[in-house]
Amino acid sequence: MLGYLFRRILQGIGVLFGVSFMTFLLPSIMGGNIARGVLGPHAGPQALKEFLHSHGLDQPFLIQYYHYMIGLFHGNLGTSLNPSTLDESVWQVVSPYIPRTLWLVIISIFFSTTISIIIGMFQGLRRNSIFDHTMTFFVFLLYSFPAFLFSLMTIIVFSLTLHWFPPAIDSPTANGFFSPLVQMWDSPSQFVLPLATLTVLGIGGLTRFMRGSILETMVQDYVRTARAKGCSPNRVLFRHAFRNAVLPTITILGLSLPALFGGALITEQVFNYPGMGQLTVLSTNARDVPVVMGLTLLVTIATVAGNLLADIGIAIADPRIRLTGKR
Amino acid sequence: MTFPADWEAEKMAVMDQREEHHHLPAAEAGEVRGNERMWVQMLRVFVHNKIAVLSALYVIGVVLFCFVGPLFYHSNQTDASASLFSVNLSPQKGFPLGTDYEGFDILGRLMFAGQSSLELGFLAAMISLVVGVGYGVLSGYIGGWLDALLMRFIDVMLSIPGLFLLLAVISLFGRSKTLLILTLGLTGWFGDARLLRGEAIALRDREFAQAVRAMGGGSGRIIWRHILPNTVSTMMTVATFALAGSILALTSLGFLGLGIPLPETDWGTMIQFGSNNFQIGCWWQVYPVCALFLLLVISFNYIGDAMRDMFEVRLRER
Repeated sequence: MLGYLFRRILQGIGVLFGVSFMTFLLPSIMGGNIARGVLGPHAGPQALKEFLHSHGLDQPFLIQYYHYMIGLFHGNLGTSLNPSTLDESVWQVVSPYIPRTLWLVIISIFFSTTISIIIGMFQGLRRNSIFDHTMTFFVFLLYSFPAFLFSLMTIIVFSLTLHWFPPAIDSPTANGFFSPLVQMWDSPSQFVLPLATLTVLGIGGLTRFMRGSILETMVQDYVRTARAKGCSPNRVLFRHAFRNAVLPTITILGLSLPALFGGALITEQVFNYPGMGQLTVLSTNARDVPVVMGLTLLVTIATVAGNLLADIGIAIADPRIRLTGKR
Repeated sequence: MTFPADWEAEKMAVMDQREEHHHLPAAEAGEVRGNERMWVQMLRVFVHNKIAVLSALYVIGVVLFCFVGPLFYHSNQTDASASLFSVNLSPQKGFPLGTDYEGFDILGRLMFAGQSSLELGFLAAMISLVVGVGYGVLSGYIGGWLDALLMRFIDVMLSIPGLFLLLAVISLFGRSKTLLILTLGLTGWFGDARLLRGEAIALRDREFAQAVRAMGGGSGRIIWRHILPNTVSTMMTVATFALAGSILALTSLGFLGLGIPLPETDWGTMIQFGSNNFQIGCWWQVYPVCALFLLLVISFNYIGDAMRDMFEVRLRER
């Protein structure tokens, strides 16, 4: 178990090193391009040179990398190039946005997992029933729906036509780690549509997977044994089949994290919620490369950490993995 | 699910399926080109899937609509000064689907935007296919530490959420039509490479490859004449998903306001401007383009599914 965990964590750290190298490499080879983007097309060669010098972009490659990595370990992601936040540290610019996105993603994961496990299980148990076929159709539809079209549709239907929920989230007033939760508690109605969008987008793949997983489990030998020894159907399902069927979905959940963050980016943009996604779009428009790179790095850290958590969770729940270290 | 890892997940599913089959005792692999009966049979499986055929017809229809349509339906799409007096008109005579915020005819706009969306999507998909196949096949064929290194790079790139990666590259290079093609193409091939690497590993030590080696044939010949032709089915599935993925990515970018710069446009940009005007009642700027695009994405999904079924036939044949 410990050896397995150790290997997994080492792997995660390796990936993060790789990503940090990428977020360093691209801006450093593109220094001139960035300077042009920030200073505008009419800047003279002298101004360009000064810009490169002041941002350390004219130093030798390895020295730049050394400084970058030392900075990273001190939590220093560089300084912003956006005129409105010029020379503020990236962390200062980014940090208020992080909890908003994280809570959005975490809560929607909770809902979509619960819902898709229930739907998928009933589909698997009542295979080829009307319920199964209708759900397969809807799930396929949801699965194909692009995130931005879905959030647009929810706004058009539930907000502009039916006036049930507001079409946007009020801009947050506090920056604490738990303040997004406080805001949700205070005015839940404005979070219904964005959370529903993210949840529904996650349901598609998970339900499909859960249905297959329960189908596969119900024909296993140990389920037949349990039936043969006279367990009640409920006991067979919940004691013997359920846990084995649900476990693989945790891996799928971990693998779908990048997509969820992508979906959050679009949802935030649509509902005008200042999270990491919206900041990324703003900074991309302003060509604020350090902030975009910092955000990319942070989102990737969250993804890798999520995958790691999923693997650890499975290892704890499944003795086969705990003992052999194999998946 | 959302963009773009649904395509990734789809590919992973294909990959898992494949790998399982490769563990079976390998029967006769055979040359793909010589085996016409198999292709006919695969086509039959595809045609049997009615929804997939409808989807394929729809995709062909959209392509014709965008590229042949303008020959029969003329509308002003570039001269903003001439369209000044027809801003935000509802559907009426002369403008069957109304006009947009700049006064351009929506029906013609659908074709005009569709041309660039489809062109860009196609070119980006081709780039990602070529790069992904080359990278994956070489990595799998060569093997050893180089393979390990190349695959760690793929791991790293796949752990960056796709949209964030796209935006990061756009923030660096800016966006023009060419840059968008390159960006979409060069950020979309990581999953493909992993898939093709698995194929190459499974094929490189098969009897026919060993026979070439025994007869003194070089690696180039093995890859070009034996491994690549045997991966055609995988490549076709990958190409379908790559095409769908890049069109979807481009439209998402357009919706975020990062699509093809004016005076050209794409479906995503149309949806974005249209949705801004929806509140003042211009529903015709949103519904047609959304419907057309949504059906296109669903069609691609069905075609991809049908293709997977099709290739299962091939695997059964083996």
